[in-house]
Amino acid sequence: MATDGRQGFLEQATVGAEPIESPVLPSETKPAVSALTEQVGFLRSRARVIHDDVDSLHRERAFVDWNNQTNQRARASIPGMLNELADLGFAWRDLARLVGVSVPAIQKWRRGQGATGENRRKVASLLAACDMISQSHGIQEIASWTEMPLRDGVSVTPMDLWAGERIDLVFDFASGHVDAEEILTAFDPDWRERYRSEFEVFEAGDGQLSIRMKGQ
Amino acid sequence: MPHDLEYPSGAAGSRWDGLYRARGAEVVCHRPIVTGDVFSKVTVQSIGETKTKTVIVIQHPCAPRADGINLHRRLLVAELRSHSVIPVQDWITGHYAKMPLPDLIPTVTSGKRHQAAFFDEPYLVERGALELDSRIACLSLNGVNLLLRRWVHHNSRVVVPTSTYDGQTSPSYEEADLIEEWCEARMDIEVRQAAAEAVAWLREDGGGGVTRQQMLREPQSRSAVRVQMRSTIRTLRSSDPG
Amino acid sequence: MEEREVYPNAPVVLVALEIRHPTAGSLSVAERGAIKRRLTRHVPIMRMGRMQQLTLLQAVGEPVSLTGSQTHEFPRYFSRDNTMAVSIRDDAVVVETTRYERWEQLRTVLADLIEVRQEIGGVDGVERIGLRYVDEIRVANEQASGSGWASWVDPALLGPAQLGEELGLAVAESQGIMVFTQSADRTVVLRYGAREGYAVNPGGDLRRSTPSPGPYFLLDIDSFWAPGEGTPEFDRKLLLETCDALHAPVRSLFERLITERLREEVFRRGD
Repeated sequence: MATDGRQGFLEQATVGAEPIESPVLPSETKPAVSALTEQVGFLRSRARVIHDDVDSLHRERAFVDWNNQTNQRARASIPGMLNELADLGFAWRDLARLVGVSVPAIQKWRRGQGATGENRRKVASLLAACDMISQSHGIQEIASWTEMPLRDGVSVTPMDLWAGERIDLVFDFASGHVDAEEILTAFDPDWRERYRSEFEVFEAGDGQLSIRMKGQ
Repeated sequence: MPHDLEYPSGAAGSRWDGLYRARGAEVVCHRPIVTGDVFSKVTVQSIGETKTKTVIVIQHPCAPRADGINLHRRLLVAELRSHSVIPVQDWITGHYAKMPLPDLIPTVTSGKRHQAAFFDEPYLVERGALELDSRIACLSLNGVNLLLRRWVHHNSRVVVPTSTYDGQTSPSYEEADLIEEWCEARMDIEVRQAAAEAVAWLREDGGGGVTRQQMLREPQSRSAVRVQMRSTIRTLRSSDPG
Repeated sequence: MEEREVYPNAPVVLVALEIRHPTAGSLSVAERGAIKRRLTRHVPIMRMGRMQQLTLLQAVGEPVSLTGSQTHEFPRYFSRDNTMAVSIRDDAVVVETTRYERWEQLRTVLADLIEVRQEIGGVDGVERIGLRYVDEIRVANEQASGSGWASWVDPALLGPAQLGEELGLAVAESQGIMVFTQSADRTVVLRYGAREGYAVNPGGDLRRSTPSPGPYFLLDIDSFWAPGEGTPEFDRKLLLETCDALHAPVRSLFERLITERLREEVFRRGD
């Protein structure tokens, strides 16, 4: 059951000897598949779709954990958080892309110039996601891992998923339990056509990288 | 799809932003000159006359330097002119002789705000004509790939996917990023000296008989080079006197 | 038909339509396969789901005890990109999507689903129809907290937030619920409030975009119909007309609850 560890307000109320009538809440239209969090509905549902396997439960739990860890990380200074990300090996341009700002903005933050609370949270959420991926799935060089294509011949990387606001797919890929093709399809149903290329990059005779037709 | 020219992706509010790494006051002098850099007030030689124009470097990313530090004596550039915003769908179906540069100068509201590079107006310029003080924009990696794709298509009518260009341009772009970062950290010495220091370091063996520069060709090795570089810079700074 | 603007950056994260009916028999393997073939153009991937029903009892001063538990299996059909699912339980059919664009698109899937369910397995009537829109309104703005949400949503949704702030009490989160009735058998329930994290967990079986976790304003509009008397027939025409009627007030209510600034600066930023 997805929870952030807190009880809902209905359970936390101060109680005396006399019972206080709770309001009768209206019936709810219930999705069958979607994981409405306990933040919605205000009434603990008595019926819930249970997951086919433990992985699904973990996946749901991951987002609650991510939120909590983001809150933890957001207590640090933004230059400190950026330095941690730099020490993991991330490129500034990739961090800028993930946060949704320009590289110069990142450079300003590094020098101590202020970032909005929203951007501070975004940086914190990057660090928190790195923590989770490393700790839960044993991925050691996380920056390197984010730059490697999900599949040979298709230039989509975990960085691209992340920048496309599909951290759910990043977590899935990190878990190793979801097929790369399934992830690619979830990200872009047209990926087979979009990333098809008759060309390849190779090292030419002068040592520089060149482009040629495949199969040559 | 891979046979079409592409356009910048992203939400409309940020799509044009994604073309650029830096514009206007964001552009820093210590970044090496690379493909896609835009310079104003550049002296170009036309037929029988000298003119001053705003230009963009269209020399291939692997080609601008003879020795890794010094630019070639002459570089290929294309002229920029004011141009209305070209809708994204039209990037695919037309304007093949141009590279649109919408919101190039976001601080103005006049017609100069949006521009385009005209591939039919190429020039060779002396390297000295590209003064770092007059650089007004640097393209993002995605912007450089789009530029190259359109430039090559203009010349040969061959369409190469942007993702393929990325495999070719990203090592050079990464190198430029690292040199910029090195120079910024080494503001205590002259920029040319810092850049030379960075290039020398990149050409050292990074492990296993492969130079760090060569390691940049492999996406999974780049982060290791970044980590090493940042550590090296910290050591250099802590060992500097004063 | 009224022209409705489609926002490029709409906040809707889930739309679910549920039709409850008297308990029907479980579907056989052959019936599940037949439904899959009939719905394949929308939701070609079939998976089984399980619903656990728990009965809890809590007396005053006593801990909660579990007095009953039942587990039911039912087929679920997914789109290839896992953004839409159709579920066929013993007591309800549900179509839900995390990639909602227009009512007409969802209605097309619903129409096919109703037709298929009428023909395969058989359903004796309808007990409740509900159409629910869950919105997570996120703005990249320092002021989107407490009474600061007044720039983005109708201040009526903020209750005593400003009053509390004047007394030095910061709003940590808020929950509100308003029940509107349109007629004896139609109700609209609005759940709303300043929250944090997600209203729809991105780790669920339906995929959705995943912004960084953080503050958002929930607008959860549940428009439902329940017959006052009797159990009407599971009739395609009736069901679709009722769903159209349930859809009608949702957009109007949503538009009245948001500000023009939110439309311009957030919803209209997009492709």
